[in-house]
Amino acid sequence: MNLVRKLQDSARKLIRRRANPRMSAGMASADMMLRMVAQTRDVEIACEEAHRLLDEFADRVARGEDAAALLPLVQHHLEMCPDCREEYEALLRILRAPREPV
Amino acid sequence: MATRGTVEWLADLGAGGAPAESALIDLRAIVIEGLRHALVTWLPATHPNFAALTEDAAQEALVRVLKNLHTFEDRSLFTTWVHKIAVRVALTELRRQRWRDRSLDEMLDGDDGEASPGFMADPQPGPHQIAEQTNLMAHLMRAMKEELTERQYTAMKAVALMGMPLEEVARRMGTERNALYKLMHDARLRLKRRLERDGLTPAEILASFAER
Repeated sequence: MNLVRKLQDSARKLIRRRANPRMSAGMASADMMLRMVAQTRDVEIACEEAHRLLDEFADRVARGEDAAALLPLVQHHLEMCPDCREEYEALLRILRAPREPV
Repeated sequence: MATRGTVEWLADLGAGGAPAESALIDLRAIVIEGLRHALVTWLPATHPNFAALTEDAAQEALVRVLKNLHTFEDRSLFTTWVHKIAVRVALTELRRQRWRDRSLDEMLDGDDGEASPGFMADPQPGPHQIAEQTNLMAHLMRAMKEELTERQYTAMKAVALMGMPLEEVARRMGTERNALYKLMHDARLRLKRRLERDGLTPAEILASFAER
């Protein structure tokens, strides 16, 4: 019964994310705000710095590297900033898209 | 289309004349193809506005690429750097279009979300979770009103609770996205410290969502 409940919860979350693209950025709800407050760090980088490093971060992720470990401040910023998160996910979709034959 | 690595892209774009022109033509095609994948969660390639949006975004992106070529740090593939710029341009425009008819006052009026289970992402939490998370939310809303400046309260409510993009909120507040992020970071720190003073540690807050 517990496993069924967990599967149902996962399905509901997946349906919600697909219905609302911004939910994939994890912002538009009070519980996400609580989590963000709880995970706030004294030192964070802002959007300009994160954007400067975003291409490197995305390339590393696309290559299967542990970008979060290599660029932890970028990783954390993406968890805190819905706009940057959206841009990162869009960039990753480009990098992971199948290549047209030359 | 010629096959180019980072070195070749930089050489051709910097050469001017025919090599630069050829490189720009190829780069434009690469950007537009990339945006087709990037924007899939916003609008499909078959959408009537898609072609115009991607053409405009590609044009603006190429202008920015040429203007900022000297800032490329070789930390990534050149094309990844270009795609990053194009994504920023395209999403900025899409956000502007999506939110253009929404004012900040309209977003902030009405329900503060206090003690409202409806604000929680999961519409069907268990009764224990409802009580615990409702208490947490009520506590947080109280802390927001008591600890934050008016601008911080506005930003946190608009971005974090109502889901408005940072850059749209920033535009309406007469500031820049980067500055707004810093404002919100300070706000989050204040709230975190207030919750800790009230005996709510980050671990306890996160534990209340652990089963979800």
